Amino acid sequence: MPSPGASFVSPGESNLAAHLGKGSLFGHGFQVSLSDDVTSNVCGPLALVNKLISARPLRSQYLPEIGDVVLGRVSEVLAKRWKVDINIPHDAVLHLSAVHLPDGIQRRRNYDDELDMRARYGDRDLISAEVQGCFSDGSVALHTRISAYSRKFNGQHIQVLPTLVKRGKRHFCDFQGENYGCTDIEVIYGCNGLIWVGQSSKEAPGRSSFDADTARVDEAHDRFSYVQRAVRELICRVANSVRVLAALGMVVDPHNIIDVCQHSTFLGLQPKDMMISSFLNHLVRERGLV
Amino acid sequence: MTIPREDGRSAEQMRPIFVKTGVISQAAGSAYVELDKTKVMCGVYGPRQGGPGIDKVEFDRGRLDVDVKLATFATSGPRGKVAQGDAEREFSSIVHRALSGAVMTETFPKTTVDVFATVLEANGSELCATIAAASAALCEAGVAMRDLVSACTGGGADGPNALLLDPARGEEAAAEAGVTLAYMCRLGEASQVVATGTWDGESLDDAVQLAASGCARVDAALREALRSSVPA
Repeated sequence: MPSPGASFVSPGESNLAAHLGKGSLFGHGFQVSLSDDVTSNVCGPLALVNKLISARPLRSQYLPEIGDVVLGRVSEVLAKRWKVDINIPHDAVLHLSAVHLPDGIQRRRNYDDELDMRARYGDRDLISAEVQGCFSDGSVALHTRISAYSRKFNGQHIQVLPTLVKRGKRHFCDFQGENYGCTDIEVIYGCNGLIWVGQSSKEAPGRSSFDADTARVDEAHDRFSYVQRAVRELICRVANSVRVLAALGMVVDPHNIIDVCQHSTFLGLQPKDMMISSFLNHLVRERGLV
Repeated sequence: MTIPREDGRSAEQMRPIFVKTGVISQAAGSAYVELDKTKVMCGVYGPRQGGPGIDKVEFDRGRLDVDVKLATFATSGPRGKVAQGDAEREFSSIVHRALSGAVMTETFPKTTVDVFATVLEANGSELCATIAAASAALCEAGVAMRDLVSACTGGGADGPNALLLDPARGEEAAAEAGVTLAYMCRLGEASQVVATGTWDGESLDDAVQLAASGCARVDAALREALRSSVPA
């Protein structure tokens, strides 16, 4: 039995209703028996929203919600759909009808589009997408209906704990490069814990129709573009800031990243030296984490 | 009746237990359990889609896969696959049965949760340490469970009349009979009982009672470890 006013439960703790207040509602992590006895079945801190009590597991996998921006890797190209690995138990599905066609034209997808799916997103491509729907068996449908969602080249992605990325208004956030002597770089905060840091991909000039041959040439062009040294260094700096934040268990958001970058340049650290423990200690002291 | 034990414990005394969670950074959940010199490391991965034999379970349930390995250096006796293979298979199936009573597989339908445990040093009661480590690791991975499963062994060193709690390796080898109990303390339900040797009803009851008292100790240690893994 938990102590009165407990803030933490572990599995099998019963008689919770009496301890956590009579009128409480129990959400995730609890089971209510026929005799109205409430038992916890996960281990973790309690979260209280008005009268709703839920327990969040200590290290849970990413739980998709509609509208989440996620990053994922195409694991398979199937008939009329892609399978995408977004760090959930099931593969997410991206239907051909749920992708944006070049130039934003709206039409039925035909057989040619189907043949050309690999030119859009090929095997092992990293893509950004949005969660369109979640189904009761745990599977997820994605969409990439606006041009901001696309496959990613010329950068790096970092995997952090999904709990370190908070759902917010802006998951696409450019990092200002002017203090570092280069153009802005693109940072995408995937709710599933994948962070993308890369060269800003400017809008490709509009194509009049989805023509397979030109599309392939253009896609190849998107893939391999020259990245200037200063941009590459800034990408590494920002990516290492994300790693630093993850190592310290701090929320990965634009504000924190800018803060870490500023500290590193202030100390004259090269991007490759940002993971040293003395820098982590310095940040911990600066941010008053101890 | 008191027989001095090789490490100076009383008959109803357990060895010191140490539990630490979050020891494998790659795993969804992990735990390390020590019963004095018995050391077990356990990692939980998943849930992941499919997995072997997923078609054979009901469509609205998930699958729990348990694989226990003995490190080649775990035992001082015969080593290698020939000597340890049978023990590993038996261990895996006992641990699986002990856990499946607690894990709510309906919360991860059509997916598989993998539990991998390695016995680093086997100095008696390694089965109990493995079950305890696996349930702490599952808990850390956020897998919904009805209760934590803890396990303890009661063994008869000199026949069922002189019961010893948590026998060490030497006592285990000398024991004529033993009972390993996997117990869900908060629910008060046993999920697995393994009895070896000859027992009569009454002494078996005593042995189960003794093992249950050990389980309560293990349960307390597991909960304490899980709680202390949360930053205040």
